[in-house]
Amino acid sequence: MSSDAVGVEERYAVFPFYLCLDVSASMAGDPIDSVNRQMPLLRASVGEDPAVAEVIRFAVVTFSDVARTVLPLSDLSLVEAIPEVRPEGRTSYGAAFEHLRHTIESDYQAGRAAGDRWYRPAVVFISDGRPTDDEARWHAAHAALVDPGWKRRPNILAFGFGQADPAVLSAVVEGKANRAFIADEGAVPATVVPELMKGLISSIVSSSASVYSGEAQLSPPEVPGMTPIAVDQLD
Amino acid sequence: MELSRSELRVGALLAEGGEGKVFELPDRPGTLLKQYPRPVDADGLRRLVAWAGPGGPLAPGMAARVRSATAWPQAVVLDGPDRAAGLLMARAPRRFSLRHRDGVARLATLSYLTADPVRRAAAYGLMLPGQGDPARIGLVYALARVLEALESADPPVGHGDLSAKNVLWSTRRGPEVFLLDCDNGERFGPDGAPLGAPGRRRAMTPNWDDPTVPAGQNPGLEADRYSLALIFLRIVGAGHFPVQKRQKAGEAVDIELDLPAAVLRSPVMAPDAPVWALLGRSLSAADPEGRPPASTWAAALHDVLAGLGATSVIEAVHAAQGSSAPSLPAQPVAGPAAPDVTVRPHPIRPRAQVWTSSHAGGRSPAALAAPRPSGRAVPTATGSGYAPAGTPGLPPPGSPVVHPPLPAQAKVALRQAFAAWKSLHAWAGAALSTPGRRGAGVRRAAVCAVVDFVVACVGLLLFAMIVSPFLGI
Repeated sequence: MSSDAVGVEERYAVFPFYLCLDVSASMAGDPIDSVNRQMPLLRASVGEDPAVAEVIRFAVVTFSDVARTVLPLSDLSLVEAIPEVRPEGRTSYGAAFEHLRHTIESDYQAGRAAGDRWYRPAVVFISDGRPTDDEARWHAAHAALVDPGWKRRPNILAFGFGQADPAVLSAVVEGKANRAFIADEGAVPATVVPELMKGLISSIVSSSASVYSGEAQLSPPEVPGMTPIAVDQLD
Repeated sequence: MELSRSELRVGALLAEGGEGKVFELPDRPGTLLKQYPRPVDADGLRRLVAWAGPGGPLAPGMAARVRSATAWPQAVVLDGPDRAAGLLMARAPRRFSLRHRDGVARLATLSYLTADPVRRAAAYGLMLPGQGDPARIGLVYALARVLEALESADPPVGHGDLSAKNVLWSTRRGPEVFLLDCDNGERFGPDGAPLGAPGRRRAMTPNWDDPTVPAGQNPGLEADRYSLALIFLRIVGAGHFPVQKRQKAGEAVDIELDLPAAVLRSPVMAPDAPVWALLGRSLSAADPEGRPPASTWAAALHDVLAGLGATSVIEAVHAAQGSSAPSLPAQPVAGPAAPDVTVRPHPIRPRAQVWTSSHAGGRSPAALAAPRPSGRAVPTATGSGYAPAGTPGLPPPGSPVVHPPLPAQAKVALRQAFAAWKSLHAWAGAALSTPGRRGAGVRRAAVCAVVDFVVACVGLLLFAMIVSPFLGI
């Protein structure tokens, strides 16, 4: 194919979503069970609709003492099941951010080599606790992830419940409006997590529709029982 | 026809979107209620209902096409004397849905056809016609005939939003299309000006819209002509062909369309065939007024299908549309090349995607083309799905990989082998039952026979070596 011709290999640009999930020991029980119960719905809602699946790539990263990729960045129409996650360890934000930075860069390079074009990736960060690692470490890892000099820096949406600290979540989203959400006082994880996952699904589906307009937009989910953290809560 | 909202017994909600909600009507099977988020001007809707009704401007043969292939507004549901709360429309027949491997049927939108059929087969277990297949050309022929009907009346109607979700398709009885959201249509006067209420906003879908319609403006008749050509390109070429961004930037577009060599050898689809200049003129952003009408497309695709020997496809399209009424006298298909769009057909090349299992150990492309094993998923730490290398779906080096136990692997392998065997026979059967491809079908059937023979020999050998000693044979 000549270099500037439009051919069958020129595909729509894709919108990568990284679900970054806290699986520290405090997530054991209802929160993790809810996540595992909702994953098949997410896979079906995105993967079984070809118009959504063809422009969305989805990955699941978990973190506790360490971070790992549970589902590599994938076209969900070609994924049979999203693996279940299990609780373990403490809450290292630093491990999560370092892993995301490395994974996003390597996924991008692999995708580019295969002819994919990317919109700016989105990270959906879900935590029920405060970071247990050294503050300097996670701040440095976060700074590297959102470094303005790094072209693949993701847009981050953060959701907190349980012991999550609004000020910390606000810092995770760099204080941007409508990007960090905290569960309402007294909300129980068994209610919040399913709503959060449903909100995430509709957010992904509406974001996929925006891809076709040529200007992808990250649609923040509307989650009953969660409130956006006001920007001025940052410090 | 008009009725009040209170006269209707409303059933289950079927769909919801920005245009409104769609409900079942238990007392009226085959008919749906579309309810708008806010009441709209009833007069425009009344005129649209009357346009396709008895006594309307449509000739009987053309009306049959509209009735059989669209969810045209049948009645206005009033909220007040001049306010419409919604409308009644025909429900898409069940054949315009596709049952995925999970057993759930979903509307057969064009999105299924605008990608590599192998990828769709791997994802949903659906056997779709290959790129350049006469069935795909037949679908566009069916659409061209419906648009021809819309353009044939005085006043003509433009749909304005011929997007992936608004054009359903089926090949179960032969190629057929079914248009949704027809209340988005507009009647046009002889000067091309819309006859509806001024200030009305009509929907257009990004990526399927006419790049020459400025933001905030409504589509004209030429927009449907552009969409028809874009649908031809994407459906017949089985790809995305994202041309609009370049066109909106005022750039010329050079399109390379991969088609099977056997199709390109036919004079009607050869690189110098008139259909390619027709496609270029229809996609032109420099000369939207010069886009040929749908009747020219109907005539051109009729000739293409006849030239490919697919007369049964033509007959099936006519039969499904309830009328074999001849198309209108069309402009000549041949014409000058578009100033800004070049289409160059090219013998098909293997797609760049290399199919790989996302956990260690790969499956062959042939196995992936077969339906994915249904039922239980194979649990692995990195996900048990498959991702083409074209998407960054491979686990990063060092990722934990857990293999399923051997019996599970054997079961999965057996299921995959059976699925591959089944799809091989379906592949042969599809060609055998398609006129014009029977030669290929016979060759494929021969391959099947060889495979079956080998499988039988292996089975007999296993029986002789393993089972027969236990039986004392």
